[in-house]
Amino acid sequence: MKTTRPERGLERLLLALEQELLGASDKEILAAAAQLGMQPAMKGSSALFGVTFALQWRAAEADPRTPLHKAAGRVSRMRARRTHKSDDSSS
Amino acid sequence: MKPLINLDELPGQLEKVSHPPAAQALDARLVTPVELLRLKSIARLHARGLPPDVSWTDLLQEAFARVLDGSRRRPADVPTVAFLAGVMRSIKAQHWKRVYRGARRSVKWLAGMGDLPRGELPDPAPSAERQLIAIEEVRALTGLFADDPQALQILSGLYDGCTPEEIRSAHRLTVIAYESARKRIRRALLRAGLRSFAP
Repeated sequence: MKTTRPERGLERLLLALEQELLGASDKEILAAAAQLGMQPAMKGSSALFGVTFALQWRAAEADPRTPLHKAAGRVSRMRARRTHKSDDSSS
Repeated sequence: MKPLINLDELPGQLEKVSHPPAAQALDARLVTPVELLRLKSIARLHARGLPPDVSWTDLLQEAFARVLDGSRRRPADVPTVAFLAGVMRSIKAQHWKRVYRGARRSVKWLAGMGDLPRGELPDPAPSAERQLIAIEEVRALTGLFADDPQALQILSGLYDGCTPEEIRSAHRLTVIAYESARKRIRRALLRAGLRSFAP
């Protein structure tokens, strides 16, 4: 009989299920969204909650150490640098 | 009809974070809206094994941030969604390492206080915490399929690291029964993954 450590078993399970989601067709994804009454094509659709927009506790967002805050800040700085560079090269 | 929640008029301490990295990736046409939905489901799935202080949104947005800032580069032969899923897995592993490092530091600090053995002592607490989280999450995942014994047989086999052939032969499932159970699993995972507030 196999005895599986819970954390290893979970990781194996998640990896296998990730493959299922990677293999799901676009049609299946849109059908699941439709079943939930979501319209992903609409701007601000709840289907994209947490993806293209998110809600955070004000206090948490003010804390620059939160992962989302750090990630957003880093990308904004990188984009600003790129814009700056392209402005320089075009002038 | 007035919407139940107007995101532009949030009460109290909640605040809308506009244009996080995933939205920027969509603008840059790095991904399509359907791919974003797929990634949302995958992030939700992997968040089941995350330390409690990190959310699925953190995982997803950090993965996009790393791709956008160039710290992770996608090999030409790997599809974008599969690559981002891999980045999320690696971020998850880093979060667990961080939790373990923190625990080792605290044990080191304690070791300096008296006549305890030198060096880093393994602290069983994070491992116990991770095991507890894993048990809870496996329970939550299997709960999605409480009325589907064939899906549960497949999940149990995957948990034990069995191949599809082993699972089919252990539970005497035909190829058609196995494939149709897989389809039900995919649908249920997508529904759970796309919900705004999933259990």
